[in-house]
Amino acid sequence: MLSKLIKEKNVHSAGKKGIPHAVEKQKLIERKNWRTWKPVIDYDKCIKCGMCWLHCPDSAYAFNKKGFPECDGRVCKGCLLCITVCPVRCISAEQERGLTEKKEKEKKK
Amino acid sequence: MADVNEIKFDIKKEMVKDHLITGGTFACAGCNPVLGIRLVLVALGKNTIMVNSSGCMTLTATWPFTPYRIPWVHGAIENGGSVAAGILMGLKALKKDSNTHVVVYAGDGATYDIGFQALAGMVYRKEKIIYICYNNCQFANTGHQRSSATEKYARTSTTPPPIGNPLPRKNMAKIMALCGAEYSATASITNPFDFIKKLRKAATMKGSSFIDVLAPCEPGWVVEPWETLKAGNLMVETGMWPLYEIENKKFTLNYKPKMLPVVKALQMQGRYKHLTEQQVTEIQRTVINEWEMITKGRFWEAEEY
Repeated sequence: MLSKLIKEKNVHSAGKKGIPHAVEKQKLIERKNWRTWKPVIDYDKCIKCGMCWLHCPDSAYAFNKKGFPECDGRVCKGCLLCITVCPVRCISAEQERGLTEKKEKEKKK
Repeated sequence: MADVNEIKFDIKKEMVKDHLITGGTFACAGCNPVLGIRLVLVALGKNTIMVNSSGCMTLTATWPFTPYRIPWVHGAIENGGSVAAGILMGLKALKKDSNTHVVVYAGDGATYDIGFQALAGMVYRKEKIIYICYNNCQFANTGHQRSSATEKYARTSTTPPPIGNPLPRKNMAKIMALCGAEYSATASITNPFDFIKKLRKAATMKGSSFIDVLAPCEPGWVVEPWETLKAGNLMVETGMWPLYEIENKKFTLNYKPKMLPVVKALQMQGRYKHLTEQQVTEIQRTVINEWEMITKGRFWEAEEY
């Protein structure tokens, strides 16, 4: 019974692209609405040391083909720990404007 | 076995691999225990079975969602050690225990207080299990109550301000070494390389190993999400959380802190806001006494603050 469930509904696997999936609809869980700040990387200063990758609690960092870290905006909760651990201080915080701008627009209407 | 600092860890090799725990969990922003799971999986790799005692980290995998790419079991709060022992027994019967790590990841409430008998039994039988306690110094999941890992004078919801917690914490690494653990150590998430090397060393042991890892809790310690690592680092640098290992009852110190004044660590954490000068000096005195004992080679007689 259990093995049938696992086979049919894929209960135990956490999707291929690195985001947890719901059982029936393969829908990723986004946590972008949690954050008020987001990290922005200055790629001119980055030395590819991987400290942000090691210290990120939400596994948001992955490396692109050139070897530079990229922050996955869908799962980043904006804790900004990556800023405190960066040895060359190439990461800075930027206020997340998406939600507040929407609300302001709605108010104006 | 070799010194911990001689074990190699190359971050460039690990950077290429996929995350074994993914994002999108229910944990707080800047949660250090989740970071601890990540470090465990970076250190031990894919062949790991993780047993979880009830706590904050149970909320990472709520049905039908799971962020794990490894087998993950949730027992009850008091039986983390026994569940792991059962899994190991099953692996032995299938003859697959040689290259699989069985890991217990439990909170300090589940280790120091509620799950103590299961842990002590597991260690007594010398099962080949790595028991990791993420220590945030309180029962954080149920609302920051006092546990026996809470430090003296710290504020929790059951030990409110004018006095704080009247009792010092107990030293679990020592207790586990005396119970019969082959390897028992303390680590800090703020020093990830040390933690990963200790995990890799623990994986080579034949008996059971215990690692007590300090993981600051941001709502419990009343710090900002981006300050958690700094708060933990100050606990290490002021000497309040010494990093050492006990292998076959032989003590070795792994890291010499700068011995900053404890006020720096206490000021940063909101749970110490009520402290008077007298209490601060008392904490400072106990920390200095403890370090005198450690440096003189009388580790087993030292008292925790």
